[in-house]
Amino acid sequence: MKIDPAEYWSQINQNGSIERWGRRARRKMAIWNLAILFARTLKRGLDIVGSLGALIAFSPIFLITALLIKLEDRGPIFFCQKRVGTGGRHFGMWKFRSMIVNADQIKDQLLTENQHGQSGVTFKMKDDPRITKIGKWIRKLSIDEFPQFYNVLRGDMSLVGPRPPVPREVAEYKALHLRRLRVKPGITCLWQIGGRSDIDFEGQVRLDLQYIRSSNVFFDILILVKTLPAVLFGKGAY
Amino acid sequence: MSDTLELVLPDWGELDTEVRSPLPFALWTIGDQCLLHHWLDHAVNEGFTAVRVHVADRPAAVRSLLEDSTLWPIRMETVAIASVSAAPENAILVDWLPGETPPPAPQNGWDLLDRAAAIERLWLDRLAASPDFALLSTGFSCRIHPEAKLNPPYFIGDNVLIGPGCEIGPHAVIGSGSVISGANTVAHAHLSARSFVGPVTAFENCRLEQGVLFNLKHRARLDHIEPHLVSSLDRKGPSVPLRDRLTALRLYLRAGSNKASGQFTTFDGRRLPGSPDGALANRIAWLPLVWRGEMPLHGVLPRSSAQFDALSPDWQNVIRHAPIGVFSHADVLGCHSPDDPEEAIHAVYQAALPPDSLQDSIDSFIRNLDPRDWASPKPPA
Repeated sequence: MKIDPAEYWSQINQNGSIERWGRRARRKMAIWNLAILFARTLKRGLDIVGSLGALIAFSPIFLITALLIKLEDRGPIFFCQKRVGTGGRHFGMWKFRSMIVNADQIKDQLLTENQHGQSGVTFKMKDDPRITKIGKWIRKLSIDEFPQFYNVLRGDMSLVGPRPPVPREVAEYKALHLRRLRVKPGITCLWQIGGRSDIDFEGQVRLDLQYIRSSNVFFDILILVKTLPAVLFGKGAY
Repeated sequence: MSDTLELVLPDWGELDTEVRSPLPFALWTIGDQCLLHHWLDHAVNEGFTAVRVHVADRPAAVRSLLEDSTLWPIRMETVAIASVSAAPENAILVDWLPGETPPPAPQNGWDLLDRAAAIERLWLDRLAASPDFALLSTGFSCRIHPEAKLNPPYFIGDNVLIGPGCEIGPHAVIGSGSVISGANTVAHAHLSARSFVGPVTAFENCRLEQGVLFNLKHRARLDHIEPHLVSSLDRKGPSVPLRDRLTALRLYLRAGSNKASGQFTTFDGRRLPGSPDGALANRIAWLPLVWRGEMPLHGVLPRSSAQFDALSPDWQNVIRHAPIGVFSHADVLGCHSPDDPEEAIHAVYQAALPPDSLQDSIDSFIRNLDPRDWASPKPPA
């Protein structure tokens, strides 16, 4: 579409007053401001409704899991880990405890086994000896992540968004990786539905950036729908 | 290698005669973030764990920015210095992008704008060369019409609406929340965040800041443009909280009538009721400005040109961009007029701190005000 500015503005002078065009411009600005506000409200609304619904719907699973964890080693049921949220601010992320009580201290001895490389930013290994028997199952079915619906309800997290890293990982980040911290972290994102732990760190960051670039509420709903089979079949989870 | 990166920000506040920005040059937006943030990116990439920033020009603004810069996992420290020469020898001047040789220092306000444009061009070229250009060149929640043409390199912020027939780039930056109506050309140009651009308009070799257009080719500043052509979606002027507005209304009603007479012009061209040496008597006349949201309740006292010129250049530099208010830190300490020599010391102290840091003590002063304090205004100068 090519428009000659002189012709366009002469049409304006013929068809209406400057004031009318000013009103039209102000209306357009107001509509766009409302559209931004509406998109934010819709995402937060989806988070509140989705997390509240999940907390109620999964409450029997919460009870059974809590009971099994308590019976296995008498340790605490929940595990609150410091994570890095929007804009690099820290928050406590809740999970069902799936590892033995002093798992963090043993982690340093296992760094050579890291599947993402010894100098890798993230730590993942198959057959991690720190995982309890119940922990193995709840991780496979992603039940250990369910308490994060509480974080979503609080507003620390969103249902869909890049996974929140631990501060130790962020200390190793390059500037490009920090871009994934510009939006609210979430329970699931593109890499959870695309292969989960099988994707290396750089691949995860690229998928997160891809999500950030194309995010909207309908895309979020699509990711949530695709997350269900990934969770049920335990693809890439260990 | 030391794990602390020493930076010094250029002291170009006096050169900024065109944009008249409330922020020092290092805090101007270049691409997706301010210049200082590009240096924080550099610090992270180079493995530094701490950054020490030496600032002569508006240290409070820099301190406030760094306090909010939680994204970078490094320690940050702001050190206020009298001049750039007082910074350590190993401190790097933040006047250009890291890793490039900077051109000679600017001489005037237009040179500053040209420099910002040149830095942005360089940053966009780097971005275009990155393998992740497609992921990094556009922010989230953007609506770009399929008939719009994007010519790299460009950067489009978050929540941007681009209408049909637009041609964006090369070397175009569109700030977050902007509306580009349709059939627009934006090339070699920077549109600040929340700009509105009417249909069938072209922006080439220019910078649009808060609805004010700077034509870099002809070195022209356009302050007043028809709002259907160019507008800012941001609210103009200071943002005055409702609590402060109500306090101003209560004080105004308590004080009775407006005892100040006449008008005076501040050093930066603002007309205010009362006289420059009117002490507390002026404040009654300023309270309606707070109620209308045109002047904050807290800030340094407004000065006339004569009062401003009486200050040393260093102090002028600090006070020049500090937000003015009806009540100041100097009032708390018993100095109610800029003619009082001690008032300037308190004003510089207040201007060097983040805006909210002395608010509690000023609020306490306002609460204890007696209507008799408003009496005996001096005649206008």
